[in-house]
Amino acid sequence: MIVDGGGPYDERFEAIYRKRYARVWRYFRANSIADDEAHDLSQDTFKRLYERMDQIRNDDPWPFLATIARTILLNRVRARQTQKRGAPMVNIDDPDLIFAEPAAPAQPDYAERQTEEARWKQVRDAVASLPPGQRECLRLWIEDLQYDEIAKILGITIDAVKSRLRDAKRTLREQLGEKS
Amino acid sequence: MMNQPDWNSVRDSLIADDRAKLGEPPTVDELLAYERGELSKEHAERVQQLLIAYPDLARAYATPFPPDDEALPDDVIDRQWNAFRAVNRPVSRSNARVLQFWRGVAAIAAAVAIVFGAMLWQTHTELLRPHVLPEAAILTPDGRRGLAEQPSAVTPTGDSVLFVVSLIGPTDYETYRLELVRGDSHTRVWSSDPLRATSSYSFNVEIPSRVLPPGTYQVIAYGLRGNAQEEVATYTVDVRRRPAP
Repeated sequence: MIVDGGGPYDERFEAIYRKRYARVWRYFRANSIADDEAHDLSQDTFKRLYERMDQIRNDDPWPFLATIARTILLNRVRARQTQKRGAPMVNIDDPDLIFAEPAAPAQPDYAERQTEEARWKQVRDAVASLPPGQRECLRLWIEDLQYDEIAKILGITIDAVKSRLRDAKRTLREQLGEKS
Repeated sequence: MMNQPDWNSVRDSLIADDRAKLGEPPTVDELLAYERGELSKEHAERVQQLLIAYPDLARAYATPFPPDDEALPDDVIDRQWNAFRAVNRPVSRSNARVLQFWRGVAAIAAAVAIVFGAMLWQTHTELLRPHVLPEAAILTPDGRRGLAEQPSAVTPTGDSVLFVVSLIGPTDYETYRLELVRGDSHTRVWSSDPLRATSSYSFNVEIPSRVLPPGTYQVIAYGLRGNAQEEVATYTVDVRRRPAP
């Protein structure tokens, strides 16, 4: 049950809602969540904030609100990962994605597949042979994560991320004999 | 030469291997504890490996909040706010307190009603059963008991005492009223409603023994006519101590 005090309490919440809604919504959108679902998650975020307004003593509820939004996002992503382990993630709610989907490529013949698989194995082995720190940086870099995001995940500095990536790429180039 | 689809294939293969080896993604609590540096070294390393195996979760974990510099159009905010209010219709906090208070009162009232109902039922059942009246003490008006003029004496032996108050003398009042007062202090112990005279011109008054500690009492009979009342007779009674069992 949502409990509302009316008066200043209610006005305070509405002010927070109007001031912070856009930022919360854009946070969800920044994580590749479709427009409508981003609104739904934003509403959930503010509902939880509303239920806990009594606990907020600070004048600025943003840290609390941000934690709620983050928890909701992580739960949502984790639930999807658990449901679809191993399956590629495709957002079926995003019409742009569906219409932009390229036609399936022609299947390579057996000899080409053999060549491809041999090349993939070579790359896999090369990545696996990297020192752990470089391998972890490379794996996250392949996922298109930014330097600062990789640094946060691994708990290292951005400079360390850049350095490890530079070393990893050089090692791979040497092992694979090509410019990747 | 590795192209993007090749890299994607390698990537998918690495992820599949990691997930098969490591299992389920970390929980949100684990992630938050990892961020705060509260996990053991081994646990933190495992969470780190799981984040690499679940890159979407890693991305969600690492994505910073966008800067607070770009608003949505007012009509979008209005629409969302109205939707929020419609779905989460608030109950006034003060009303909620009142609601809780009345819920508590209702619960207490229900409990009391059950207790009193049980007592009433018990009493009702008790009344339906025949029971023997206590021994009656027949009271004669003062001044009518002969030369000795000893007060009537009664010794309570049960839960109550029965006084039979006989009217002697004028009996033409519309109604009568009886009072029981303590003889020493003249404090009123009990007073009746107006009573119509019976055919025998007597009233049977059953008095609980516990309101009759040993001592001298007077029963006073008043005759009522309109708004006026007149003392008709007094009956002095000596209540004696109950004998030890």
